[in-house]
Amino acid sequence: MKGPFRQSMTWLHTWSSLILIWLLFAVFVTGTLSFYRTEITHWMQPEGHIANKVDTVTAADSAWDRLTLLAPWGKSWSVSLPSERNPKTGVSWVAEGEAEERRRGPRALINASNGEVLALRETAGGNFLYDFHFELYAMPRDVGRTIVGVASMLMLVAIISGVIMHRKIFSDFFTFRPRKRTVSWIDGHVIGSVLALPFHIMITFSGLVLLSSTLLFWNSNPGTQNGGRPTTVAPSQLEHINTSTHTRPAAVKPDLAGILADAEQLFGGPVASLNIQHPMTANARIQVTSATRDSLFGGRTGRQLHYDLNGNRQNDASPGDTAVQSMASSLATAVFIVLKVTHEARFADVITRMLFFIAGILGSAMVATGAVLWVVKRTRKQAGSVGYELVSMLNLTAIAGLMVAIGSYFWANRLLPADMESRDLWEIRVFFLTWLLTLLHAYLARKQHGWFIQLSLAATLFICIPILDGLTSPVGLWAGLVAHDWPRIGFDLIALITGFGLLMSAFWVRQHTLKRIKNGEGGNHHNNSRAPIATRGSTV
Amino acid sequence: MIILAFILTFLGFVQFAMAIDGHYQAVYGRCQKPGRRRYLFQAVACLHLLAALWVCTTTWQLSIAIIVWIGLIQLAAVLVAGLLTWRSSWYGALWRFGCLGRLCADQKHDINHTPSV
Repeated sequence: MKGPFRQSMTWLHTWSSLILIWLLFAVFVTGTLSFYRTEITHWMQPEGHIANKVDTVTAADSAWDRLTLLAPWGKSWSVSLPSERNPKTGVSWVAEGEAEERRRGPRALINASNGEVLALRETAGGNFLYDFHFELYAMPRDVGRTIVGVASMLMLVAIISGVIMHRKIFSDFFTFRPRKRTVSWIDGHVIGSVLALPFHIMITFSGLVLLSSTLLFWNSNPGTQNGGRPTTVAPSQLEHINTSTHTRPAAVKPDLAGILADAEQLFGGPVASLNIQHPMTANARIQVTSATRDSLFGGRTGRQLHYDLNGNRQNDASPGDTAVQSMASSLATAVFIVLKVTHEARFADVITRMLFFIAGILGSAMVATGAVLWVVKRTRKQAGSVGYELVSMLNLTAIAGLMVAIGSYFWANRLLPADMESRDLWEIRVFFLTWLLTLLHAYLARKQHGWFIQLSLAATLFICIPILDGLTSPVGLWAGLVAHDWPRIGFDLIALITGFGLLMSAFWVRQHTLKRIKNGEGGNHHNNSRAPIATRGSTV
Repeated sequence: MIILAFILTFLGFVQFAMAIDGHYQAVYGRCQKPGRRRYLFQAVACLHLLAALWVCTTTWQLSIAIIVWIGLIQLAAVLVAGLLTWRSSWYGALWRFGCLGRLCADQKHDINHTPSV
């Protein structure tokens, strides 16, 4: 029983993963990048890069001053203060006579130091990558979600069957044997999967649950998740608001410094946002929200405190609401919330986010090595057959080609004119056009060092990203570093590391192809570089 | 604190690896096997991991601490695997100077057999 069972699991593992493996890789990579969605968007709007570090009090002060100009008659104001993820201040308000509606994201982004409204370029930003990872693109939202849902289901099947088929899960736990052709690929695949198994199970399962509403076709209300985008108003529209003729008599400004100091002390951490009800009046009420989420069960926000105009704390009973009490009506809802918060790493500070990012990279590596492994195992017997050629072509496009496409997406962000018409669309078009070109290249010329060419192209794009950033941002790299613009500098750094990683793999592929040609393996030289990675041999 | 937690998980995995025949031989020479000390190594490793979890809970609430802990475990495991593959001499040094498991283990092996690495 045991033997056949394991064999059938191996069969299941191989074929269930193969069906959508290229899509899965794209979902994994873009999803991993989505952990840094805010940071990526910040990088992609160089107008918002900062040249000097601003403390919370100055930022709150300047935001207040700006709001008195933008919305003196507003019913309420809110201010999202600069954070380690986004050094800009966001302001929004409910104008006089405007219906109160739940909106996501700020209405305008302002310079934290002087309160000037930033004229940011239109960009698809990190949101495109985020959307792509669960809705794909250019298709109805539900269709995209269903496809990704099916892919995650297959992934879950692959994970479970993979665990069952793996014979020596513990004794091979740390084993990596380089220079052994197929064995090395298996080891790499196993290391990527087994060592980060809890993460893979968590992310696949929670992803599946998050998409479950679209997979249950009898669900009458599919896609209940938010699709809202932070919509900012163009500065020109703000000027229009500015020219409102009636001005309110300036009311006393609250002691923001005192309020912030008190709240920070009580929170034991930074403040994320302020919300002011009835601003510019004597009965203004200021709500302060903590940046730290201390539990997986929390609602959308961290702890909150309320102050009056004089900076006196109001003792009301809504500290750190536990969503399991207030939001969850049932156990299922509570589980859903925990899975959602975990999947999106909502609670994460910089370091924990990094851990998720690394695990995501391992996951991508698992999928990529799995895809390559399929080809490597079949090189000798099936080379030339339609299925084999199709898979090796798609592997090249989906793995190396995707990296080229992402690289050119970032390049397009900086090189397209900043005031271009429907600029964000063009960024996305560049992404897909590049990807299409790599597919074309893979179809026509994968046997002429296809992997080397695409990998080194992607490497060049990524390595040059910091240079591009330094040249096309109004704030120089060094100035950004001095100003502690970590989201931006971190982006450049990770791009650089990615680039060198890609470069290493490109040269590794080349070395192996050349060695193999020299050794005269496999007969016809022309065919040798069909899948250079497959030629990983004993001659490193 | 997170650095301390990471060091603990890392050393924990160094000891886990020691419980596996192949890696044990890399340090103590070919014909050696961890034998029953394997369980000792694993126990010490588990204690390390538990200590790391405890360290995490001092910084985060339990629910988040567990996730951070799992993240650290993945990172540590990958690094130990890399160490064993490309820098096994560092691994040997780490084992000799950084691990409680070795202190508890039978000292005779250290004296009788000069480590091969």
